[in-house]
Amino acid sequence: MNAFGAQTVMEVRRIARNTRFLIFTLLTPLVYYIFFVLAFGDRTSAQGISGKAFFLVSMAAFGVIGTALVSFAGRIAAERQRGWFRLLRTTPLPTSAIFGAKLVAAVLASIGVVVVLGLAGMVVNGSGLLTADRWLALLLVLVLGSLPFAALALVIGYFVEAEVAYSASLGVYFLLAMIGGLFLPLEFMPDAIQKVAVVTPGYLYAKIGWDLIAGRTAEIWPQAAGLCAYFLAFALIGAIGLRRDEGQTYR
Amino acid sequence: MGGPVIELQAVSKTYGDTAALTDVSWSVDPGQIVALLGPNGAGKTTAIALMAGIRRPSTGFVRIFGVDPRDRSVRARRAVMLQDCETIDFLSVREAVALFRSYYPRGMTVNDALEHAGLAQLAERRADGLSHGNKQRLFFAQAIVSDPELLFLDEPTVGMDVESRRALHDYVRGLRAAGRTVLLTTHDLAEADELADRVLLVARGRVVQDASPAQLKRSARSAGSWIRFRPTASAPINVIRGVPGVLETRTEGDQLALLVDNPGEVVARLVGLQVPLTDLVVEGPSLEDAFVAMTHEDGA
Repeated sequence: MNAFGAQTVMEVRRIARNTRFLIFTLLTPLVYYIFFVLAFGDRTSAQGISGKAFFLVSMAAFGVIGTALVSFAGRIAAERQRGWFRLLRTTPLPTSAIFGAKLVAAVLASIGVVVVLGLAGMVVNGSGLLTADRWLALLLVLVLGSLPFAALALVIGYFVEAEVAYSASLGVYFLLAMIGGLFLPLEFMPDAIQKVAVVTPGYLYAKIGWDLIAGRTAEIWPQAAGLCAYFLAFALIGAIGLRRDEGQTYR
Repeated sequence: MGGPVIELQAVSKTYGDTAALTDVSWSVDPGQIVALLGPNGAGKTTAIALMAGIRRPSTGFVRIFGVDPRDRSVRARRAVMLQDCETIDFLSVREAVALFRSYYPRGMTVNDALEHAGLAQLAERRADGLSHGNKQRLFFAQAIVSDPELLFLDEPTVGMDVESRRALHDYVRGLRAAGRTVLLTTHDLAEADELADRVLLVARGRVVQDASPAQLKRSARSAGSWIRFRPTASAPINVIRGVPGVLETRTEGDQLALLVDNPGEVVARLVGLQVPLTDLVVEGPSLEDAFVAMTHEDGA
């Protein structure tokens, strides 16, 4: 197998064997989803969709953000500290393959999270919740939309000390999920918080999913543009961190 | 082709105000096994980092196969076993070695690498659960799986048991027969003696000797031996100090230590003077003494 393929398989294995990761990014949203559906499933949210559909998107988004953000950030920081990157840089493996493999593995894991939540949704709601093409669109949007969070993970991984990077990313994760209305829908929040919430990446991300399910396909573009802006900003800062780290190492 | 495999010219490396290496130069030809020998903090690991392209020299230049150590063509032809490194998590020993094999265009089979490193029995174990000594074996397997033309080993046998250490030594000697080049660091004179064709003795960031192990041992011998025993009141220290051949006396707890050139002669004289030699111990020249002697010569 070539180096990139092997590196990707390795990263996928590391995710699949990491129970802490599986609990946090797969089991937690799944349990929350079942709980939310039992509690609020029959209400209609301000997004104009049923509670069942609303929380399906929320919790899938919650799971995917966790995949992209928490596991990525903690891992980069830990590998930096453990001397793993330094050892890899002595091999012919290019830096692009190190990060490319991580990204492909994160995307595959995200697909896994959405599929599991989707299956749970079908079990709870019956398969009539969404049409096949909407399922596919939702999957695509949730996976692509995770990129800004992966880039944010790069920022945390390169600017926060290894000992606290995991906790820091966990803190940012829950903050983004809270203020983005993934747990408590925005309409229940005070006005002042709502005004801030609508521009946070967690909200922009889930909003695309809610609009998609409600059939408001034309309305997703402002949020998509917002996510792109976040992605560019985080990727730029992350790249500065990576360059700075290489400069610090090779000097 | 034909040039030196490793070349350092007037290389210095400072970290802030601390000089790790000061104006060192050496070149290593293909097929040589070279030991960088020195006490901890002598600059050995820094030298490996410079040759492996992990660190940049403050002044001077480093060339591997005639080009920059960071060049990709270089990275494909040489492998590095680092000292302060962690294993990758969630992978088995076999998977970790297979991963490193995939990075290189050529090499040996994963099974052969595991076999050479003595890891065949542990192949399915989780890499991050290994003992320190077994982790060292894993790093060794990761380094040799590409069957590199040039191998850097930083303190490869630290923490290894006697058996693994012997296996590693056997393998490295086999590399010499295959015409490979090896540069290893060690603080163990016996290891350098056993493996190397050539020893670069490093102390305080400088090369104080560049010699064969045999030459080095001759120099070490000139550093003298220590005679230690428990003196009694009947043998006054000033008498002992005056015995011909005693270069230096030191009190160590309730023991007296004498630095001598020829321990046999001095012991005979002490017996002749009827000095009771309770708990007598004679120690040959230690590496430390050799360092002291040689760095002193260097400074003089």
